[in-house]
Amino acid sequence: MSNVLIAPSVAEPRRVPLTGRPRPGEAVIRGALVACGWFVLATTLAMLGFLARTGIRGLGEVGVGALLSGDTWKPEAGSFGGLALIVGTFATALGAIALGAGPAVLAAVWLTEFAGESVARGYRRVMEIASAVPSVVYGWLALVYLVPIFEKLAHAIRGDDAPVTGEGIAASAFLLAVMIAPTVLLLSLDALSRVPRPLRDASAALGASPWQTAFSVSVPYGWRGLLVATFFGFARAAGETMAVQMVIGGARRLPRDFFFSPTTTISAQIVMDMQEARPGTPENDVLYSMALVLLSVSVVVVLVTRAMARGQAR
Amino acid sequence: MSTTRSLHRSQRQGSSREVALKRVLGIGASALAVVYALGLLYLLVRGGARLWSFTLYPTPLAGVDNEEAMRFVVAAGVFGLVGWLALALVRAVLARLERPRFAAKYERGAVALVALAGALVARDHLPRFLVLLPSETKAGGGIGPEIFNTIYFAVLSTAITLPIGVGAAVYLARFARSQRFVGAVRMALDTLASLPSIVYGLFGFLVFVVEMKAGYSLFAGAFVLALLNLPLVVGIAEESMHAVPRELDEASFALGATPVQTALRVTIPYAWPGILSALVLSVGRVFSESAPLIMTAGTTISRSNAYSLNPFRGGETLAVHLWYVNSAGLAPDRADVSAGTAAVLVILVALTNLLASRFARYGGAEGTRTKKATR
Amino acid sequence: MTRHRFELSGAALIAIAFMAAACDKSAPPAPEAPPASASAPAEPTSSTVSASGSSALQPLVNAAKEKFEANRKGISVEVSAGGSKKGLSDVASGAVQIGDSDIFAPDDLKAQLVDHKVAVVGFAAMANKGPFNDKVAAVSLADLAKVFAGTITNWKDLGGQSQPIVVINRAPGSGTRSVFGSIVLGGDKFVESQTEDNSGALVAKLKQTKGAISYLALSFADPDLHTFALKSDAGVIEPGPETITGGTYPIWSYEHMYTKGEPSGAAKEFLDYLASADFQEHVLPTVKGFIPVTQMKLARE
Repeated sequence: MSNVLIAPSVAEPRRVPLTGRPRPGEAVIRGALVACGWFVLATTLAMLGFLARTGIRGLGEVGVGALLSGDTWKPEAGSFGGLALIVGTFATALGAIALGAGPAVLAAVWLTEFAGESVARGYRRVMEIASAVPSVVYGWLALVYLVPIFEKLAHAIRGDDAPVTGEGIAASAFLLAVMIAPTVLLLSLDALSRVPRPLRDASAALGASPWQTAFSVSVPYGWRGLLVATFFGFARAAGETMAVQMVIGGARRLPRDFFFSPTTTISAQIVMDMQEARPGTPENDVLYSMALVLLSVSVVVVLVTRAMARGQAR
Repeated sequence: MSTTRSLHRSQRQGSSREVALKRVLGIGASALAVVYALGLLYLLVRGGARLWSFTLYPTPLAGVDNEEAMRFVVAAGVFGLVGWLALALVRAVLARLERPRFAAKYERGAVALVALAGALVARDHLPRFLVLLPSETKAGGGIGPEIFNTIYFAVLSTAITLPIGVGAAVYLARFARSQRFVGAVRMALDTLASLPSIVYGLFGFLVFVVEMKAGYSLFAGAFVLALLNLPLVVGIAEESMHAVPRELDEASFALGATPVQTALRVTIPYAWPGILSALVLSVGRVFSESAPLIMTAGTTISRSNAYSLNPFRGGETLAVHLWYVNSAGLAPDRADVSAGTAAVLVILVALTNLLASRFARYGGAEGTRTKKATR
Repeated sequence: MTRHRFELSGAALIAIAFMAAACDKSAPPAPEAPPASASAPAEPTSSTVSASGSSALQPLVNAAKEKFEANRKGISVEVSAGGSKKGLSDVASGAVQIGDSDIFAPDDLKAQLVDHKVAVVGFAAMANKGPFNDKVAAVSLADLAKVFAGTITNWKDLGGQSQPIVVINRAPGSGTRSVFGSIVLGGDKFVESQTEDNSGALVAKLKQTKGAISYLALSFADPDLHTFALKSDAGVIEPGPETITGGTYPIWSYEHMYTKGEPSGAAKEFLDYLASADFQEHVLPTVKGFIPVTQMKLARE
């Protein structure tokens, strides 16, 4: 198989008209390059294979229906209800998008359409750093400053005698929104910068105001890219682990009060349970099943957005 | 370009409603940036107290192997950073006064001198927080081993990503013949890029801790991080190789070079700034990942091998430490420890970002590239 | 030009930030006495004893570690908390030499692990302090069970003012949770609620959350927390060394340190020190909440 793929040493006429004769030993280098390609392919397959094997074993032990519908996750007592985890993951990620994506996209529009160049450069630098700040830093800030605020907020909304701790879906969604907004903003900037200048100029020449140009030309032209940015934000929010683990509360059930009661997410629960579940037990296998759920969601989201991004590039 | 811009700009302002909306949008967007900027500044100031308190009395050694070497390196890093900041200030002042700046080699030499002098003179007077071992239960713990591990992780994972990532990129950009294989590799990279990091953690745990029974190790963590970074590195490296002008390659062939020689001597050197910026970005991700490391490298810092170069021991990075002290640590000063750790992380991340954008900017300057490629 | 201005202001901002930060601690710190291990740099390679597990036991292990390291230069003891079950699985997998646990090892691990009982510790329900539970000094076992199972949800049902009870649990890997659950609720029948990963974080959360209640080892008793006594037919039983050794206060457990096979080397020295009369009679009683194994008048399996 690999013999076929290691390119023959005769130069390909279509691309390269004339090259020197291959030196001895170059076949080794070529082989190494092909091996790098194979390595990428093999590790990806191995990774998916390992996860699928263990995850499917877990599904077999517990049952797909029970895993997806049960509302209490208590592996040590043999109760594997993954619904709470799935709901937690989706609610926090969707909440993050609802809160964070809008402002980020609007800010990107303002930056590309209305702001001066030096402002845009400084803005971009701040957001680049903010998007690279480790998620645990966001998590820690949220744990220390956000959770007490949300406890007061919850009491203000739900009444003074509501059994709330401030940790839960609302706090996590807000944290994730703050975390993903810089990423969404940077991707949106890229998308809007791909709008061809002649289009804007044509719009201006027709007498459109900058505002009309922005929202009738640039945004409609780049909407696909903006959507891609939002989807990436969603994938990042759904996959986030440690930051959410710090503020979600860790109650392994559907939240009693949807916004302000503690619950859990797939990734937070995996990282907590992994520390105790001994390999080979159903408690351990079922964590891989949950990982499969998370993985398939984010693979689908990202592959769809990539296809969309390519569509726009053409 | 600026003329077309001004054409667009010079148009009428639009109705008063639009002007008002624009102002609201501007205020909102600015507020967003100000919040983030203030947040970053707050992190620096809050943790700065711990990072910046140089001690008059030398900090005693804890008696761990390699501790003095580690102090030397940290001191050189701290003073190099100080020197570099001072240099930026001097440059800015000179530019303001419209005086010419110093030659690059003097600038570099001065910074190196400050770093070396600082490391020689003040390595025992560094802020204690940066050099002490962490403490589980008592106040006053440091993050020395975490700094060491974080940097060691970056080195280890780059040692894996660099050859494989660049190799795969060269192959995809220059040598691949089978469309089906290229498609498969691209698909694999897309899939890798879309996996949540916890999945990498599970995979590393399964392979290294469960199947190989190797326990938690830095190597397992570095390998997993390298995998995590492959799509990024291959993507950017391949893109910058596609940006290499066809003529350069063909000139090389015309001189009788083989494709392999051309790739090694022309394509890779020309694309090098792009590859470097990808590597620096991937180092930034090493600094910030936590979940996969908790599952592959554990959370323990052992006193006896805290600064050991053995990659088959466990250890935590700064990001993992920040999580650990908050959720499992019993130290009474964990708020201060967290703040200091967060500040170090922000500084490291800001530095990698600056470096990456600098390398990316290099890419625009044709001169340095061609000089390197045609040497 | 604008770029330079941006750089200038950025650099100045950072410089100011650092100076402001530096001023906070400009006073030179007092010279510290060098830590015990540093005064013996002659020892070529120090050996390490690593332990992980129960956070309830951690205060005792730390006290022992300090005395032990001072006496035995060159040996250092590393302890990390993370829950009893993590301690057990770590020691079984060989990640650490000693696994700290509040609970007996499960049957499938019993064969390979050797148990060293080092102390006895009591547990009690502790709560956020407030006017709502000022008057509630003692709660019966049955009521406690109802609180943690989620059937009693308001402080007024325990004799306090109207305020909802917020139950906070330890994570399922916790030995404290296992012990408290099996003695008070007859198994892990806790209502699913907020969880904390260790006792230290739990104390902080209890202080912060209005109406919160949880369970902790007595070594974590805190003047800012309300610690409940037990109400029984014989009257109110305060949790404490006398009531535990006398057998009237039931919520206690042995603190175990498990090793994989018989211990050797530094780990053996450390365990021997913990078992020594010197430690058990003189050091242990000074650590809040712990009781020497030798004083127990009744055994438990």
